[in-house]
Amino acid sequence: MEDKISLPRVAMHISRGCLIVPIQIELYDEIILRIQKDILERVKETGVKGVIIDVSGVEIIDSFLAQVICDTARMTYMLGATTVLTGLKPEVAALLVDLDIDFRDIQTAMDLEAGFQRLEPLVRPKEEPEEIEESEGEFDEDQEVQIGEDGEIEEEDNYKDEE
Amino acid sequence: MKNKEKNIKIHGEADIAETSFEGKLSAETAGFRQSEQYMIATVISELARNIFIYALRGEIIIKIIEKNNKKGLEIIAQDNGPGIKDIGQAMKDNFSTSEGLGLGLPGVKRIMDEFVITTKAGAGTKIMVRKWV
Repeated sequence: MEDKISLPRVAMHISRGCLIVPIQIELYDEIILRIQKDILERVKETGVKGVIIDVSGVEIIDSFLAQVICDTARMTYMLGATTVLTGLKPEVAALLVDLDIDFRDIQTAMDLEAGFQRLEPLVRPKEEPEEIEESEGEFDEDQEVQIGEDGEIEEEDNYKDEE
Repeated sequence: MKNKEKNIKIHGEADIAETSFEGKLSAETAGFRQSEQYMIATVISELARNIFIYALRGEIIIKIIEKNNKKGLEIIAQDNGPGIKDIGQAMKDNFSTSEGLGLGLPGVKRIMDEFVITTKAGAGTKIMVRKWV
């Protein structure tokens, strides 16, 4: 009973469009299930497209904890957010492989920064298109004209230009 | 020496974390490096979880041992559960009967220095592992 009251919480925050979940405590069943619940609630509240679970402070990950982390990633995906796991310690990674524990259905990245980079394409496109729409009404007409003479959409040119 | 042997009953999920924590402390006392302490704690966590998943209750005995001036840790996980029907299969990689959770016995064997399993269908399971510093 007293455990439930004093269950440590993980302080989550939003940065660069992602929900950051820094886990700096040793995990056990109750805590990770609580974190899972908190993540899902925050994703729903905020509508973020990316979640980064950082486990750089975690030394012990057993099959149950791994399973809950993977489940969480799948759950957030159903809510429209992609989860990246960052900061796995080399010893933990080696042990997970030795124990045949799998991190299925979850993307991993070396550290927080790499996690941001991974999620950037999903998180970023929000800002730019909104600004254009708001500027002037004439854009609507222009967009329709942008269909080329042969009927192909001009957007294709943009891809070629990327080089 | 105090706390040389610990006997922890596994009755519920909360006991898994406690056993793992006690194992880490014993590993530290025995003189294992920090990374090995965590490794042992993870192994104990898996053994305790197997008990919880497959047998519901059982016990874990953690003992600091000594042989030829070498220290080590012995862990016994035992239960009176259903036992393992096909031990050959359970020792194969990637085998688990409970949706990817638990078992992981080949991994435990790989990580530890000694591994002995005694089991019989309907007569429980006893796993003894040792790791030397």
